[in-house]
Amino acid sequence: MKTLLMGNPNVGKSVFFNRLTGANIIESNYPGTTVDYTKGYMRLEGKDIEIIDVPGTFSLEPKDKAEEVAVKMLHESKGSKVMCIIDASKVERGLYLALEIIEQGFPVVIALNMWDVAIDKSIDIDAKKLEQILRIPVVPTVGISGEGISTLASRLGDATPVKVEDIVERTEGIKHKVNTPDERWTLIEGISKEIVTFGEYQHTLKDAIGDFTVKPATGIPFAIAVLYGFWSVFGSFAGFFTDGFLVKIFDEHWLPWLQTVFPGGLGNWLYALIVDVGHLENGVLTASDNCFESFGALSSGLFVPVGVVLPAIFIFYLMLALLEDIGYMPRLAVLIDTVLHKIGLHGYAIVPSILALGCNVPAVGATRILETKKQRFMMMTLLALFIPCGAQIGIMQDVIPGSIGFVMLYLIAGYFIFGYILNKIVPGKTPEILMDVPPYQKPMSRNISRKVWMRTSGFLKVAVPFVILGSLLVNVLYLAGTIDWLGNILAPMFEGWFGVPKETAGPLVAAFLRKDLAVAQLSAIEMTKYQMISAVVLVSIYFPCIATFAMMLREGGKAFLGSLAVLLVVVFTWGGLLHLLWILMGVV
Amino acid sequence: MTKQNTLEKSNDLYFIYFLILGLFSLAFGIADLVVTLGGSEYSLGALEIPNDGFRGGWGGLIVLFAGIFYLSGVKNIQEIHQLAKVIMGSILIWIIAGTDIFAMITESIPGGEDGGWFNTAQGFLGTYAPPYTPAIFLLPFSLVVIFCIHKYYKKQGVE
Repeated sequence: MKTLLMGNPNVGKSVFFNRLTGANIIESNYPGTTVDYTKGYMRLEGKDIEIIDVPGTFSLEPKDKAEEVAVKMLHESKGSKVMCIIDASKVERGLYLALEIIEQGFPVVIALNMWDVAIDKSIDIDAKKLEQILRIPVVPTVGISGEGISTLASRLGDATPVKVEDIVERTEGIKHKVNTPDERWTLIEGISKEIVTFGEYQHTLKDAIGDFTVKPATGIPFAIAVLYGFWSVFGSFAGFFTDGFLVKIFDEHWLPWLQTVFPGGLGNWLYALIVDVGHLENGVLTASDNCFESFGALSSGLFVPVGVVLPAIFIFYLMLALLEDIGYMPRLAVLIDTVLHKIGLHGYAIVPSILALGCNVPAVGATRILETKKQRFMMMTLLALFIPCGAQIGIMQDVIPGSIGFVMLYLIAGYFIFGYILNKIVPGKTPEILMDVPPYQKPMSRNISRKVWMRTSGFLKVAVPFVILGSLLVNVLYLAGTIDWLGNILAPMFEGWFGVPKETAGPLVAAFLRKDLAVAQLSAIEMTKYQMISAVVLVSIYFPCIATFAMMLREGGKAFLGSLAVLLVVVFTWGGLLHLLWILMGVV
Repeated sequence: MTKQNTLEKSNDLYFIYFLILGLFSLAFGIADLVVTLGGSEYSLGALEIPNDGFRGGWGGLIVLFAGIFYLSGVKNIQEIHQLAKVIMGSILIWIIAGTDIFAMITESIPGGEDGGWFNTAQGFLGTYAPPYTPAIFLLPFSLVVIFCIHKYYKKQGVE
């Protein structure tokens, strides 16, 4: 038997999925966390029941790609049961979707989730009465604490198809048929009158602070402080592990040990690939004394993902999980909505934008929460170009600590300028949206630790093999003379247009595999501070890494070709413009 | 003394306290920004005003915002929205001071480039010695808001 978990966005479907199946999928306190469906199994009365976590949707008339997935899933699952999760504090909105699903002939059980929030808001719902009217099981639940979820699962067997005409008959004061959305809303109003009682609600201190954090005059200073805290903790934490301990471990112990035990020695091709390429000092090939310059698959290839990027990515995801669970992300979305509207996006574009600061791959997937093709195309292009991933930022923190602020500022400027241009030239709509801001809540340590573990381990699984592969590939190309050949051919463009040394060709090849590795490799090239900034910017904007590339191809389809065209134009204009800026400043 | 008089008296006390704290925060924030724009670090006894763009510039701006939050919330602090502004002022101070203290902790433990794995006891304790940034000086005074929140909820419970 198959059961679909359905409901409006941000009602806690993923929490239910994790609790029912024991699986680990990301749960967040804002809509759009689930943009694709996830399968799992629940054991009930000796039988395995397939549970599918479907993306949130407000109705069966989809407004964005995530909602399209939800509706398609439902239509392809005839004969399945549906667990409809309803936010008890907004019961009417949830009932609309539940009625639509009932009309389609599906057996439904209803979870009145966030029961605690409804009580806090003095909303009293007569769940038994609702069950009598609908003739389907209705169970009050609190997803985050697990309350009521086992009762809900045990009542799944009681779910049977119901006719809407019968519901109409059982609802006082409603006599008409339900054929249109307006008629459905009238029926819901009738049901609501019978089951919901609103008590006197007192504005709480939490509500007052919540209101101030979305009003621009008070919310923007608060957002600046939150982002300051985020960045400051990120820098201190990553510096503590990398500079305090991991650099020592890798440079003073790991590299010398590899150099001692690995056969071949300097000049041997296998030794160069795995341990140390070495460098020329007064014409003599000399061993490297740090893992940034050795370029070996087991030296730089391990140092970059584990020694530098891992602490950065861990603290990034920890801070992000905290902000998500507290409920600050939707407020940030509301605050930035006006600004993002200027470039044809809306507040929720902040979700893929911030996710991209961790990794571009899930961020491309998260663009599904945007309504139109135009918005998704713009978002994908902008994030692939202008948002460096956490791994890259971690390396930048180590390679260009004093200039990282400028690089970020230049990329943010590019994000908005090219966003504005794309909005003007790309055909399509940029509709307004209504945002739902959930109340602030205490973060759950279980949820935070699970999210951080899943995201960090996911990063390691992808990053370590790709960095090792990237180190090997670039070394092979170096040894074969391909990088020098490429550098010589492209020298006029590198030196003349972008103002960076021709040796940048090597890291740019590596950037296609891993951008963090590419920035690490830049540190070994002799160049001025300004050339280094240009080269780091170039690595960021020149091409998405292979994993992002594949994701963009999957999500964007034909539009991806358009993204590539934009990308080429941006690399030349934005990269060249930075060189022009240095010329005007007289620092070239 | 009637209940009304007690409320008015405590309102006056809060007003004076957070007015002074707000003025100090505002002054420290402006000083942070001026020192950052000036380019050289400034020390006065146990007080050190950073001059880097991040801690001095952005950090100073946030301390200044904290001062504005305090000053805009001091009048009739028993009112929920006014108290919320004062709480937000304190949260801003906690963010700046908290990150300053966190940076101190992360600097105090490792032995440094030329040292051993861990810092010496002297080096460890030395990291926590003065001078301190303005936000760290403001931190203990900003904690009084916790008492205000406690009082607020107590009052809600009684009424």
